[in-house]
Amino acid sequence: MLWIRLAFRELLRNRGFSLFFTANLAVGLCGFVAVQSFSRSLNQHLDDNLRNILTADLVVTANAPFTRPEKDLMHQVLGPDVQVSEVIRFFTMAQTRDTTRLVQVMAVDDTYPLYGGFALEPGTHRAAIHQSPTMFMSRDTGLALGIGDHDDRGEGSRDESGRAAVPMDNPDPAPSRPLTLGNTPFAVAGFFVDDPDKALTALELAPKIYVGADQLADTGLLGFGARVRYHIYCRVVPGTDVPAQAEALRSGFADLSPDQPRIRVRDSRDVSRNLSRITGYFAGYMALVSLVALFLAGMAAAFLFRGFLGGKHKEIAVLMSLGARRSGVCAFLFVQLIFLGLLAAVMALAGAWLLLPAFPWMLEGLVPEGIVLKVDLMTAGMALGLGGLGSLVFCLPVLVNLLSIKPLLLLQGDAADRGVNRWWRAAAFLPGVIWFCAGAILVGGSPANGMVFTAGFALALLVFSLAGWLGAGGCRRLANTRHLVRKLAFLNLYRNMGASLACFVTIAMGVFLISLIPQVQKGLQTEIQRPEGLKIPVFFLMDIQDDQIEDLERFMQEQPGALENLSPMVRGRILTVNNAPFHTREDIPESRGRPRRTEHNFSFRADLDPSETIVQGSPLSSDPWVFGSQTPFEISVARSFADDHGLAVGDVMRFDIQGMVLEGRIHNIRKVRWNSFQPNFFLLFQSGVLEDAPKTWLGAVAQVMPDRRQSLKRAIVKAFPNISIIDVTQMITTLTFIADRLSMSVRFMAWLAIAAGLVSIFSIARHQARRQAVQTNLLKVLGTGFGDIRRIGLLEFGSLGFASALVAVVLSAGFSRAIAWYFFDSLWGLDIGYLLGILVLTTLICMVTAVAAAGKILKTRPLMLLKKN
Amino acid sequence: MLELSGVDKSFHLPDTGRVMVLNQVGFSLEAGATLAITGHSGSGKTTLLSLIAGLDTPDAGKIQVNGIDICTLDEAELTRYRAASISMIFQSFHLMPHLTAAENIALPLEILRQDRIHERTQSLLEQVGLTHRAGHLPGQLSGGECQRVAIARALIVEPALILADEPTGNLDTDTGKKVADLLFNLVETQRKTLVVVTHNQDLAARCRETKTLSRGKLT
Repeated sequence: MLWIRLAFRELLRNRGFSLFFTANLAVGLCGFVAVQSFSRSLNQHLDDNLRNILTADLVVTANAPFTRPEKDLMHQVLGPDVQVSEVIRFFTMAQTRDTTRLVQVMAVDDTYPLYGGFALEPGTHRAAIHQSPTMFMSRDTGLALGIGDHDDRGEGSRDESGRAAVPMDNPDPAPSRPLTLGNTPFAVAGFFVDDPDKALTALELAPKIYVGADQLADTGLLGFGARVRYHIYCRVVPGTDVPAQAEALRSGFADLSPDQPRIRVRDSRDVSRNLSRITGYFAGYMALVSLVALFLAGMAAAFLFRGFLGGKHKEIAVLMSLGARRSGVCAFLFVQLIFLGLLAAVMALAGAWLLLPAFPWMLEGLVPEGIVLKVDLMTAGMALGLGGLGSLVFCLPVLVNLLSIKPLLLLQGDAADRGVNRWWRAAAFLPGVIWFCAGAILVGGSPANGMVFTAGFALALLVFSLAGWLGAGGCRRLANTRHLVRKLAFLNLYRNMGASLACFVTIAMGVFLISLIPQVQKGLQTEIQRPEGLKIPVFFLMDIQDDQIEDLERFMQEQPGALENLSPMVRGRILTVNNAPFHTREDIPESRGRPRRTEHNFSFRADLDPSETIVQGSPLSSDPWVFGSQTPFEISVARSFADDHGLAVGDVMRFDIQGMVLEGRIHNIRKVRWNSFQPNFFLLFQSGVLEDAPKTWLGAVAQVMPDRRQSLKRAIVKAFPNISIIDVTQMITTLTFIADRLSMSVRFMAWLAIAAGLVSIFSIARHQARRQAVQTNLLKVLGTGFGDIRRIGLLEFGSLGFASALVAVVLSAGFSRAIAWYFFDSLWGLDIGYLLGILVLTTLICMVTAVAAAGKILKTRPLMLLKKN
Repeated sequence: MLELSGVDKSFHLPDTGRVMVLNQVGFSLEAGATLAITGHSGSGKTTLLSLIAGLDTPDAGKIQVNGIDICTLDEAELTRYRAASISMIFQSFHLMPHLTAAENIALPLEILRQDRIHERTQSLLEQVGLTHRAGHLPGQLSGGECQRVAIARALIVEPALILADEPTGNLDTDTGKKVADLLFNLVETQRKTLVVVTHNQDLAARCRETKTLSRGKLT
C-alpha cells in the first residue's frame, strides 16, 4: 500500500505531467478505439442481420434461366420443406414523360422476400405488381424520374384522401402508365420507405424499381445478349447446416456441368464478406493510421516520462538508501504508469463515443443503413488494456534507467551514474516492437499485411530519424553566427538532439500521413474526370442487338452526338489454359478470394482504342484467322486480367463460344485505361474468329452539349427500348463521391495522428522550455528582451516544424507516386497547393504551440526564476 | 562495532588514468563512539563513507559491521543492511518533496513494514522540536528544519551506526550549531555510533575521535 499511496500522491503533486501524459495517450488511443468500435459495430450489425441482408439463407444465381435438372437438384439437396423465391435482376432504361434513366429492375415473385420485408408508404399494395404492369420504387427514385406527384402515378392511383397509390388489390382497369420499361408501359403502384435488399447505396449503379416477375414477358428486355441475372432465394428449415447445404449445391451444380460452371451459390456469410469488404479495407487502413497516432502519442509519453523520471533520480536513491528494494521502486513507478494509462483509456473511450457518429457521415452510402454504432465492452476492455499496458511498454526504454540509479548518487552526484548496459537498453525496446507488430497484424487483418505495414513504418521512422539527424548537424553550422537569436535557436536544436529528433519524427510522421492519401486521390480523381489524352464519352450504350447496328448508326447521324467505338461483344467460356481447366486451376490463387468466373465477354477490333497500349508482344495479325485452321488464333489479353489469372504471352487457351470449342494463343498483353469509359475487353480475338457468332454491341456517344443530353437519351430509348444507357458524367460524379468519402475518412484519422503529434509537440516544447528555464532566466538577467527570447522559441520550433514537414511532404509525394505506379497504373498528380498549405500550416502550428508551451516561463520575472532555481 | 582493515579504493579517470583514493585505510570504532573524518575536497572522505554505507565496494580490504563483512553481501543483503543497521544524513537533506515532515520521518518504518509508526514518529518529532511542523512539506520548511527532519528520519529505525555527510554544510553557522547540538544529544542519549564526514572543525571537535584523510591515507 505504501507504494500505491506514494505513487498517487506524487501524481497529484505533478499535475502538469499527469495531465499531459494522460492527454497524450488519450488522443492517440481515441482514434484507435473509435475505429475498433466502428469495425466491431459493423461486424455485429452484419452478424445480427445476415439473413435479413441476404433476405434468404442462401441464394443461387445464374445468368440464364434455371433448367429443370438444376431446380430438381436444389429441391433434392435442400429438401421438400425449403421455401424459394425467384428474382430476376437487370439494368435497363426507364422512360417517363420528362426523363429517361438507367434503373435496376428487381422482378420478384409474390414470395419475395423470405426474410425481412418492405416498408411501404400508406396505400401502396405489395400484391399489385403481380396483377398488372405496375411497379414501386423509393420516393427519391420517383423524384429522379419526375414522378413526384399523384398525377404522375397514373389515373385511379389516388385513394379517397388523394395521396395513396393505385389500389393494387383492385387495379384500375385502365390506369395511365407513365413509365416505360422496354416495350411495356408501367403504372406506379406507390413508394417504399425501405426495401429488403441491403446493398450499399453508394455502390449502386442505378436505383431499384420493383416489378412482378410475371410482368416482364412483354417488355422484350430478356432477349438475347441481355445482362440478366436469375436468382433463386432459399429459406431452409431452422437448424439446417446452411454452409454445408451451400457446399453440396456447389458440388451438385459442378457435377451437372463439370467444365462450364455457370451457377453461383452464396450464403449469408458471403454476403457479409462482400458488404464489409470495402468498409473493411478502409476501417483497416484507418486503424493502421490510428496505430501510428497511438505510436506517436506513446513516443511523446515516453519523452514526458523521461523528464519526469530524470527529476526523480535522487528521490529514488533516497528511497533505496532508506532500505527500499529496486522492485519496490519499480512497483511504485508501474502503479503510476498503469494508472495514467487507464485514465487515458477512459478519456479515449469518452472521445471515441463522441467521434463515432462521424463515421456514418464520413462513409455515407458505404455503411449499411440502420447500423447502431457503440463502444462495446470488448472494445472498452481492449482500450483499458492498451492504455494500462501501452503506457508501460512505451516507457520501458526509460524505465530501464532505474537499473542505473544507486543510493551512491546521493553522495557522489551524477558521477555515480554508470549508465545502463546497452543490451538491457536494447531489450527494453523489444516489448514495444512486439506490441506494435501485434497491433498491426490485428488491425491489418493478416500477418503479411501487419508485417508489411510495420516494415514500412519502421522504414519511414528510419528515414525521418536520419533526416532529423542530418538536420541537427546542419543546425550546428547555422548556429555559427553572431546573431544571438539564430545562434541560440539552432544551438538549442543541436544540443537537445534527443528532443529535437523526437519532435522531428513526430511531426514528420503526421504530415506524411496527411499528405499521402490526398496525393493518391488527386491523381485518381484527375484521371477519372479528365484522363490525359483520352476523350470521355457522355453516354455508354449497352445491349445493342446485332440487327440494330445499321438503324442505330443511321439514327445517330440525325442526332446531336457522335456514335463512337461500336464494339461487338460475344459471350463465351474459358475452358482451359495450357490444357489445365481454367476454373479449377490450383497453381494460381483465386483473385482476391472471389470465385474464378469462366464466362467472359470477348471482342475483336481492327485497331486498338487510344485507351489501350501493348506492353508485351506484338499487335494481332490483321489477316483474318481461317476458321477451322489447326493454328490457334491470336489473343490480346488485358494486363490486369493476365496478372489476376497468371497468363503470359504464348499460353494456349481453349474457349467455348456458344457451343463451339476454339483454341487460341496469347499474342500480346495490353494495358487498358478503364477510366476512358470506352468499350474495352479483357480478351480481344484475332479477326475471323467471332464475326459469325451471335453477338450484341457496345458503343459510346460523345460530343453532346449538356442541354441536349437528356433529350438525346430519351430519343435513343424511345427508338431502341432495349438499349441501356449509362450516363458517364453521372457515374464519374458517383465515383468521385466515393473517392472523396473514403479519402475523407482516412484524412480524418491522419488529422487525429497530427492532433496526437501536436499534443506531443506541446508536451516536448513545454518540457524543453522548463529545462531551458535557467538559460532563459540568465538571458533575461543579462538584459535580453522578451521579444528576442520569444523569437528564439519561434525560430527553434518554426524551423523544426518546417524542416520536418518539408521532408515528410517530399517523401509522401515520392511514396504516393510509387503507390500510384504499383496499384493504379501510374495515375498520379501533384497537388502543390495542398502540400504548400500543409507546409505553412505545420510550421505555424509548431511556432504557436511552442510559444504557448513556453508561455509561463517567458512571462515569469527573472527574480522568481532565480528563487526557484 | 565498526572495523575497517586494509581498504583500498581507486577510480579510473579518462585524463589521468587510475587514481588511488583510499590506500590501506583501517580503523575500528566501539559502539557509542563518535568519529569525525576530515580532509580536503577530493581527499576521499565521501568515498569512505559510501563504502561503510555499503553503497560502493572496495578494491581490497574488509569492512565489518557488528562482525559481518559487508563486502561479501549481495545486493539484497546490502539493502537489508542499510535498512536495519545504518542510517544516513546528507548535506542536501534529501527529503521526499511530496511527503510532509511526519511522513518523511515515518517513511523508513513503512518501507520496513514495522509497527507503532505514528507513535514513534510523534516521539521523534517531539525530540527534534518539530511537532508544530509535522504537516508541512519540505518546501515549506527552513534548511535547519529540513535537516532536523533528516536526523529524525535517520534515528527512527534505531540504527546501530549513523553516517553523516557534511550535516551542517548547507546551513548557516547558528542553525548549523543548533542542528549539531541536536544530533550529538540524540546520539549520546540513544548510544548510537556516529561517523561524520566534515570540513567543519567545530563539528569535528565535538566527536570523541577525529581522523584526517590525506593522499589516501587515514591518520
